Amino acid sequence: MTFIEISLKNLYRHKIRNFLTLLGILTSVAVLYAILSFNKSFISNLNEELNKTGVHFMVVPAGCPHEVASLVLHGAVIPKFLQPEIKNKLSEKLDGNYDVLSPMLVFQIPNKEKQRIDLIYGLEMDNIKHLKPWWKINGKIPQTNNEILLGYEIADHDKIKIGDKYKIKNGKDYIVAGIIERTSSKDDAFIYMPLSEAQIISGQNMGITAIGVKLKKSESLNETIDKLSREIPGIQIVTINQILTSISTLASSARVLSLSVVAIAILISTIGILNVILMTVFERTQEIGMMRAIGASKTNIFRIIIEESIILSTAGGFLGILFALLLSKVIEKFIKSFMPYVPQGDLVIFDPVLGFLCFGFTILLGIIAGLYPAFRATKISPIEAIRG
Amino acid sequence: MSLLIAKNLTKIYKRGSEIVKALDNVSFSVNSGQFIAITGPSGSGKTTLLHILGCLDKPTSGDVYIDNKPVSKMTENELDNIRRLKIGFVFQQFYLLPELSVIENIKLPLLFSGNPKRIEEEYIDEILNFLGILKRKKHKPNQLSGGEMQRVAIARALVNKPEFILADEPTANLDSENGMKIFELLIKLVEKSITVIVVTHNNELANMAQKKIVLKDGIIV
Repeated sequence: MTFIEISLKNLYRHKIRNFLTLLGILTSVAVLYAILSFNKSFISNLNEELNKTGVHFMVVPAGCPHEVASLVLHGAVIPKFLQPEIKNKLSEKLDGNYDVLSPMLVFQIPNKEKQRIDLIYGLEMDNIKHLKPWWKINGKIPQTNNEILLGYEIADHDKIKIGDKYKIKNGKDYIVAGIIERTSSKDDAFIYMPLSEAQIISGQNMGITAIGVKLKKSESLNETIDKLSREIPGIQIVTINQILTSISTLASSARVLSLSVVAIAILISTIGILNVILMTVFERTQEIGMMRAIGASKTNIFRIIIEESIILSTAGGFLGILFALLLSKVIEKFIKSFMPYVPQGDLVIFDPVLGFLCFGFTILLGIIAGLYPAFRATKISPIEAIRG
Repeated sequence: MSLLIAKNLTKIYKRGSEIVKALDNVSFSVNSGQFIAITGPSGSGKTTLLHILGCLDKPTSGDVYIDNKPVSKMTENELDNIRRLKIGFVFQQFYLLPELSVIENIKLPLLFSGNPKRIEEEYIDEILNFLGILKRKKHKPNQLSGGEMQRVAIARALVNKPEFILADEPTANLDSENGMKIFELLIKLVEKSITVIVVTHNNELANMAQKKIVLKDGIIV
């Protein structure tokens, strides 16, 4: 028999009470791991995603904050538009120093037949491979103005297959040329169509929401941006790095908030362990006194009690991480529901270093929570305990 | 040579403004292999004396000498070691851990002492057999009768091969038949050269001891 066996058997004595405490730790650690994993993946996935877009900067209407530019890149609707001639002016000022010059128009339109709002994303279809290289498309990219590409959610919700017809506002039927595989982002909710067709049905008279630009010579980026800002009035240029910084800043407040909630949950769980173990010490005063009388040293008693606390926290930590990984998709979906911009890819993933850190952290919490009860237990006088 | 000497033991408790003298200048010695009964009416100081002899409590004045060493000069670690290796305690209320089996309860002192005497399973089985509870070794305390539980408590006290057993009213929670059996067991321990000091208010049982210390109001009478 070992000290751990005694601690384990004592924990088993109060199954329900300890199970509930374990549940509290498990939940806190699961959320902690999920949020830390999410945060870690968020920046790297965002960086990767923005770099994959293949553009160096976005041209948006003057006065648009950087985060709006980032949202445009991800398909958000903003009320400002660039004049169509901006594209020609950009082309002229860039004087051939570009690989991609991709105007896009994003707007929403009521769909009376389906009693909802359709989100339309118009762009030059050849540029899809530059702007969204991670997309997996079933079918093909639209070639004509009566073809569209559907996001996963729309196709799934309406049970639409490739080759089906889809009616938009003006009653015109569009043929679904392709369906994008699930991206778990806002992209899933959009209808993509050629820019010229989007401009017609939007009534924006050839207006555009933004233009993505990839230079041929990226080393001249700053110089080019200065020149364009100076020479083309009414525009604002936002680089991919600025977008990355803006999104990180925008998302950081949500992350800080969520981490604060987790910190409180962890504090409550720690107090929960302390409370349960302290209760055990009080309940077992006579037993502890007896153990002291038959030769248990204060160190022996301290060890039995602190091990109970560590076992609880360790089990909670391990199961919490496991729980976070098993329910990663649900947790991701939940976190994404309140984060302003979420990049592609799995965000709650198995990360051995992070897992080890979270696990170590919960063991540390167990030690901290168990210190006071263990110390109290060593102060139990055998004679007082036996007298009852 | 005396195994244990109690010299001028006085114990005074303060209960609010009241001062209670539980023991008053008590002295006696115990030789190896003796069976001693401490008896007397309730509140006479029997249990207090046993606790002081067992290094669980400290006298207000006077001292206990174990192997001629004064207990008052011993550190806490030395006292722990004395309780682990030299003394076996048997309590009135058994104090068995309910989640542990009989054999696990019995092995507890070995865990605390680190088993320096290298006690083996065969020896434990021998004790269980001697106490008539060998077949109960895997049972939990709640599956045992009162008499069996006290036998387990005695086995736990014996497992570290102590030099003396201190038993505080070991038969108080048992019926007379089981009480007598426990006493007979304690006498058998003496036959195995183990010193037994037992506190009892049962005169019939006390008369079975080789030496009787009768206390009244903290004084040996």
